[in-house]
Formats: sequence, C-alpha cells, structure tokens
Amino acid sequence: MLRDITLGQFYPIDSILHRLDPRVKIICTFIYMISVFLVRDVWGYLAATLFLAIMIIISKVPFKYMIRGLKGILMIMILTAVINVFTTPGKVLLSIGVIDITLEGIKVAVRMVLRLIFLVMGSSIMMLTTTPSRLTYGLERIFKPLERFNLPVHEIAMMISIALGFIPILVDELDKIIKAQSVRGVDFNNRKLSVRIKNMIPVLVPLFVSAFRRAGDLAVAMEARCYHGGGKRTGINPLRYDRRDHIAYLVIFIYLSMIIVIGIIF
Amino acid sequence: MSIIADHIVYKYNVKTHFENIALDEVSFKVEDGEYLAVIGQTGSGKSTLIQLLNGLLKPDSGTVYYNGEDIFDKDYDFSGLRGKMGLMFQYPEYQLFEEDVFSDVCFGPQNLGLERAEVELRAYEALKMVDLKDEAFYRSPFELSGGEKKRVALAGILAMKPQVLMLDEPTAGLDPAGKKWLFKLLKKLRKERDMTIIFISHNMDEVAENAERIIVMDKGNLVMDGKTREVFSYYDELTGMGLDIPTSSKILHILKENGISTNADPVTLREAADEIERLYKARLH
Ligand SMILES: Nc1ncnc2c1ncn2[C@@H]1O[C@H](COP(=O)(O)OP(=O)(O)OP(=O)(O)O)[C@@H](O)[C@H]1O
Ligand SMILES: [Mg+2]
Repeated sequence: MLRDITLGQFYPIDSILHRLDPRVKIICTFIYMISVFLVRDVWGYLAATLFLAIMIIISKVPFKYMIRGLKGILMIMILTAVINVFTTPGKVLLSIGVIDITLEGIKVAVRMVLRLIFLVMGSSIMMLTTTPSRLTYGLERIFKPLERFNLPVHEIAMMISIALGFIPILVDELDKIIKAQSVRGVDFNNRKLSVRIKNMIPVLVPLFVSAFRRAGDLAVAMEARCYHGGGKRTGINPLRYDRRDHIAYLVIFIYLSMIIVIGIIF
Repeated sequence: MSIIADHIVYKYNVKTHFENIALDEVSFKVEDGEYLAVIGQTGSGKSTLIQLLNGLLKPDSGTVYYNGEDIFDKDYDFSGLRGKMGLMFQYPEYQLFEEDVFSDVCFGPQNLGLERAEVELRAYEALKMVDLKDEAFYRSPFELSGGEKKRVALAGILAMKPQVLMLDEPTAGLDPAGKKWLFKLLKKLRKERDMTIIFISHNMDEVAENAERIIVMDKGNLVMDGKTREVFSYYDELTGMGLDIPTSSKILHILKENGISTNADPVTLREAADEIERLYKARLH
C-alpha cells in the first residue's frame, strides 16, 4: 500500500533506454521539457506525443507505472484546467452567472494540462529507467565544471544520492511502525480528519527517531572508512559515452529541430 | 475458542515485477491456552504468518477464524480484535513514541477506550510485570537500553490484556538472564491469565525448553506441526531445511552415532542430563 511512491522507483528490466548513459537521459529529458514549451499548435503537440509514446514503448516499462506519477498531480491538473477555463477572456460559449466559459479558455486549459502530462511523463521515463545512484552520478558529472566556482558538486550529489537511497528504507520503516501501532489499537482506517492528525504522532515520532539514528550510523560508517568528499575521487564504474549515446543525442537533436521547424511553418 | 488459519495464501507485491509468494496454502488450528513456537529458516514466512493471524496483513486467499468468526469479514469488529490479540515485533523502536515510559505503556489501553484510572492501573501492573524499576517509569523511552526498550514494548502490549500473545523473535537482543526472565514471565502469564502464546524463535534450545507444540515453516509452506518432542525427533529433515535440533538432543544423537544406545528422546537439558546420568551409572556396573 505504501509502495506506490514512484520517486526513485527504478523499474528493473533491460531496454535500450535503461542502458543509456544517465547523462544522456538527463540532458535529453531536459531538452524534451524545453520542447514542450516551444510547441504551440496541434502538429507540435502531436509530435511531442508521438515522441513520448515511442520512448514509452522502447523503455519496456508497463504503462501503468508510467501514469502512476500523474496521480500525484491530478489535483494540480484539475485546478489548472478549471482556472484557465473560467478566467481566459475571449469568445463566450457559455455563461453561468458571473463566470464565462470561453473557447480560448478551453484551448488554454487543454494545452496546460497536456504540458503538465508531458513534463511528468518525461521525467517518469527517466526515473523509471535509471537507478537513483546512476542518476545522481550523471548529475554530478554534468555539473562537474561548476566546481571551478567553488561549488561543492560532489558533496551535493552525495547528499542527494543518500537521500534517495533512504526513501525506500523509510517507506519500509513507516510500514513497520504503522503495523506496530495498529497492534496497540490505533485505528488507521478512521477517515475523520481530527483522528487522522492525532494518529500521525505515534507514527512520525518513531520515524524521525529512526531516521536520525540511521543517519548517525551512516555518518560513523562513512568516517570509519575514511570517506572524504571531493579531491581526486574516482568512480567504480566511470561513465563513458557509447555509440548508442551518440545516437540518442542525434535523435533528440532531430526531434528538437522538428519542433522548431513546425513552430516556424505553422 | 481457537485460532484457525484456513488455507491462507499471501503474496508480497502482487501483480508487479517483484511478486513473491510468502505463504502458500497454510492451514492449522491453535486452541486456547496453547504454547506454540514457530520455527523455520530466514525468509520462510514466519513473521508474515503471525501478522496474518491478527489481521495486520490480508490474505490473497483463504482466511483466519478467531473464536469461530472470520476476521476478514466486512462486518468483523476489528478494533475489538486489537484488544484480544497482542503482537510484539522484534524491534521495540517502532512503537515507542511518548515522552515517558509510563505514558507510552498507557497508549494501548487508552486506545481501547478505557477509563483513565483503569488505564493507569493496567500500565502500572504491566510495568511491574516486566520488572522495570520504578525510577525508570518517568524516563524517556529513547534513553533506555535495547533490552529495557524491549521490556517497555512488551509492557505496552500486556497492558492491553490480550488473550493471545504473539512474539516475533522476542529474545533477540536480550542477555541470558533476560531470556530466562522472559520465558518465566510467559509461563506465568499463561498460568495466571490463561493466555495463548505463540512465539517465533531461531534458538532451538529455548523452543525445546518452553514450547509444547511446534510449527515448522519452509519456503512459505507449513511442513511440520506437532508436539515439541515429536518434531525434534526428525533430525535429518530439520537439518535438511537448514534448521537444527536442541543441544541436548544433539548430544544424545552423537552418543547414538558412536554406538552408545539410548532409549530416550530427550528435548530439554534436564532430560538429557538424567539420561546421561543413567547411561553413566549403567556403565559403572
Ligand atoms: N515487506 C515486504 N515486501 C516484500 N517482500 C517481503 C516483505 N516482507 C517479507 N517479504 C518476503 O516474504 C518472505 C517471508 O518473509 P518473512 O519476513 O515472513 O520471513 P521470516 O520467516 O520471518 O524470516 P526471518 O527469520 O528472517 O525473520 C521472504 O521471502 C521475504 O523476502
Ligand atoms: Mg521474521
């Protein structure tokens, strides 16, 4: 029940997307996100949808995992749609009291929702095909040049990867804590808000205590192995661009050019 | 009055890539007042099993009857079940959260909707029962040692006065004196409150000394169910599953292998000592 958290939920299967260098996936996802803001007309949206569909198919990740991420932003999508439908001025289609529904409003709403879907699905593909540790390593390598400006890139990357690694552990502990407190008579099925808030205390306190304890243990373990950030650390599996990575860059370049050309023509 | 597990099947991560059958058609019956141990290799499904018995996990098929009622039935009074079936997990850290030990032990009975005086009386009794010193009552549960935390966690469950007490590896992390103390307490609870006790353990000696009946789990299947003495007579089968027999049985087993015939099948240390004494005396003559 608690495992529905997509963040950092890598889907272990072998596909071309899984094998790509994480840097490629990060940069391509970023380019895709930019492209989503460049499209204006039907053809552009079609191209973006098609590209996303192809990526979903070649990732081999079941579709239901892909749309899991959308559940989390369902409220935001509905809110965006509603606000846009009611507040965009233009040709009035329907008037309910003081609010007008306009054709332009509907168009804008559809566009906004589509964009949100593209953004979330795009990043979901990246997350589902890359382990959190490869992802942070990729980020670290991309931002490496910033170390010249005294930015602690390695330390930040290490912190992110530890945080990501802790998520499944904490989810697991949360599950155990909820069970232990259910045994002591806490009714987690009660839907009343006041009860639900009261029920948080016996869950959150042990969770925080355990998170702090684990963090402390990890710090000691790292120090005992003489961990020292920065310097001339080398990776155990250094990232190297392969032929398929160059092809991936080429593909995303062609896609971006297409989006731009469509934008100019229509 | 009994607990019946009726063909329970439980799978983790159903319908995903990681689907894993933890229990496969497990059935058995536990009568009131029984003293039962569940043994089995790591990952054999013991913890999963006892979580199903008190309704923390819902089976994928099959069901559990408590006193004749299906606990997974829609109309079943689940909150009532909480007061009747206690379960102590291996790690006490997951349930301690109050500012002081006494309030923490009060938490369970309070959730049962009892009056304040009754709640405090039960908490006091439970803390006395687990032999915690009075001066520890108002300390923070987080400042206690691992063994003391375990006692407080147990008190938290006992204060709810359950009819069935289930314990998941209760002796893990206790010192030898603590282990002895725990089993003495369980024995007393059984005698005075007529409790049913079910515990999981990896230590065959403590199982032999205390349990009257044993359930053996192997890879999600219930493979043996019988009186302690009977189960421990299957030496080859148990070792084949990566399990062991009690030290006392092992000594007699070694004697047998070396040609010294014994006619008893001892499981407790006392019995083994008596048997060895008898053999020794027989040799002298
Ligand atoms: N939360 C979980 N998610 C997925 N699989 C689980 C989970 N908990 C247990 N399992 C799996 O279910 C099976 C049975 O686990 P269980 O914890 O019941 O074993 P156990 O007999 O209690 O082992 P141990 O002696 O190590 O405590 C194992 O294969 C385990 O990997
Ligand atoms: Mg277990």
